[in-house]
Amino acid sequence: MSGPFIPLNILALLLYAAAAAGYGAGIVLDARNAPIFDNRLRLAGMALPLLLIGIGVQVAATGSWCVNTHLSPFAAEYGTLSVLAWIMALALAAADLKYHITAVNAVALPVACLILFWGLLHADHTPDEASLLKSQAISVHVLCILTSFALFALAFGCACCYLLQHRLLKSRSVRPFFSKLPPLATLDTVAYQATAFGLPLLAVGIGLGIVYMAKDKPGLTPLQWIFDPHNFVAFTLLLLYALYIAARLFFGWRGVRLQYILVAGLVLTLALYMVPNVTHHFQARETTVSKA
Amino acid sequence: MILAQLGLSHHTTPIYLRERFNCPDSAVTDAYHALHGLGVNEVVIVSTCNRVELYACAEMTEEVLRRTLVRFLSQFHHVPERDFDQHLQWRVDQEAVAHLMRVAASLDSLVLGEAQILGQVRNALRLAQDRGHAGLTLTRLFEQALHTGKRVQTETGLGRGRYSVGHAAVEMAGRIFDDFSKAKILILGAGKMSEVTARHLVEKGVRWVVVANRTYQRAVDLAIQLGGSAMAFDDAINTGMADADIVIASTAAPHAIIHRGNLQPIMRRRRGKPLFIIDIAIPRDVDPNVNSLENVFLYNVDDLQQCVNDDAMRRAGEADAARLIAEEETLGFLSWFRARQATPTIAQLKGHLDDIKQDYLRIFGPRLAHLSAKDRQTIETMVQSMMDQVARQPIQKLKRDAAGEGTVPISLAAATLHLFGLDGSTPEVSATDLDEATGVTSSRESA
Repeated sequence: MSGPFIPLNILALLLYAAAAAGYGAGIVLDARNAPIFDNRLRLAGMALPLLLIGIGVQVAATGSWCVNTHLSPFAAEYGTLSVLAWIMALALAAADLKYHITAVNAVALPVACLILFWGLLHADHTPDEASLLKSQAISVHVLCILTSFALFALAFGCACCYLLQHRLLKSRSVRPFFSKLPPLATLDTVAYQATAFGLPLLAVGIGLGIVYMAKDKPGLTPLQWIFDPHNFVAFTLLLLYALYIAARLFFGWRGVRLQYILVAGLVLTLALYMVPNVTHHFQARETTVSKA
Repeated sequence: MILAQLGLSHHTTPIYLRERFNCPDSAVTDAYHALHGLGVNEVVIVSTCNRVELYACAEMTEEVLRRTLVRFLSQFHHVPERDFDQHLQWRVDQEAVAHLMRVAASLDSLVLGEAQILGQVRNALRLAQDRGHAGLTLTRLFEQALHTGKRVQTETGLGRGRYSVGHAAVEMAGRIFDDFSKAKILILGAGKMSEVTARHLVEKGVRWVVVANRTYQRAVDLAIQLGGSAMAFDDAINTGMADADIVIASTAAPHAIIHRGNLQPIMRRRRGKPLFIIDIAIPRDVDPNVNSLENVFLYNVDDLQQCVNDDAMRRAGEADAARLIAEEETLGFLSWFRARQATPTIAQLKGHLDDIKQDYLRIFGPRLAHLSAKDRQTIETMVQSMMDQVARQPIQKLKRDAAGEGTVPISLAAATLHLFGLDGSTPEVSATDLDEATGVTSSRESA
């Protein structure tokens, strides 16, 4: 496969990596009492523009993919991962603009970089040209799932920062980057909001998946479907985040234990990608690769 | 004249003892009234949450002055001398002056560069002046101290980005809560420290303040000041803590009042909602094990002090600059103060020389009667100029010697008094002496 989308996505990856480095360095070097850096140089301030440019470049990359292949980006693993990285970057940029949580981006943006990098490694794979994938409907399913993953990644970043901040507060340790970490309450709020939006999207995504599966594989029993490791993990993930929301919303729970749920959530999300996938295949593989 | 300072400060005295010596503005009149008649010429009381200090100027020996001031502290505050004697700091002359300069420069404060101390020093001087206890010496001393504080603020960076325990508490709270307007404070113990800390938080937007104190009326008073409400102490421990986000503990209890046992069920009720406890009491009100409870963040004065020190280290260079200013101003005051010690001798010397001049003018007046008034005036001016010229060098040397800049190992003031017979050892100049001095007798005899 060739086309401008690969160089563009490489450029986007570099921009995201630079932004992530900027966020990371900003925590340590821009912090009050930072021993080595001049506070006038705001690295975190430079990170956001880089991130926004990266998002723009990825829009161009995905657009060029669609134009060149006449396929949905979700027809290939590369395109799917690329869109996932893009949604994550978008969510992180929005969170930074609204809450100024640069420390969270320092944690979560590398995840987006890894996903995009992983996608680029699979850029030469052949896209699926299944009829279902050609439909706009399946895009909604994938988009819902990906958006929920991006939001869970944001919640994961918040949870990691929460745990770090919690640890520092407990140990009464005033490290240089201490003051750059957002307050626990902010981290808790952002994580909750991200999960609160992510959970329904995940539920809708899974629901649409079930509908499409029923249409695509009419002979599949619910038991067979649920014991597909991929689907099982997806349901567990849904229940895990539902547990978080219920604890937070209905029982008013706060604090460190809920953050562990969010960390476990992202681990499960990654596991979802890794576990074998039996039922989650599309029928009617059509002809060969569309050459760009 | 001796200039001295007696005091209890945060360096040597635990807070529970300092609080017993607290002297609010309302009690200052009584304090000065009690000091009246103790034989102390001038006295200024500096009372803050970190220190209670007396600056005194008196015509008595060092030991007597110390005993007088210690007895006053003991009787006025109803604290036996044996309870606080070991914590007392006693400084005399240069040390006392240097100490006040450091205090005003906020170099002696719990927090380097804190702003409140300058206002407190100014207030102390005003109160003493209003009650007639600050004379020329202490007024000059305190004005010099205020000048020192202002110089430190303007010429060094010590005052910029000031940091205090209250600020540290706010910063730590800011690591936990993002919106102070929604945070709830519970104050246990209506002491000065808790008031100051709470005030910092209220200034940052905290609206919900509950004060609990063993003496309910004190809780009500502080609650009114902070715009909050009062609560019975036991209710605060049992129910108030379940609602609060920030607890400021500053009671005078001799042992911990909050420990794992009574906080655990409260935390269960809170369902993981973070609780920030600021324990600024000494001895501590909160068992340190409480910090191991999930979602509880316990900070005592030492922990907050660590944050303060962290900030202070950053400004250590500024502290050196401030120290130099304080030393410079100390020398400036001492120079004036010691020069002032020579003032009676100088006045006596000048008076003595003036008497001689008047005597000579009286004796020689009739013999100069034939001269015109203008000529007589010229002679009088000439005599005065001679006298001034004779006295000028000794007076300058006396002043330098008194200011500690002299080069001779004896007291020139004493020597002057002795040499000129001003110490009562030599009788007044008689007319015969004058005749002898002027050679009138010999001319009479030869005639």
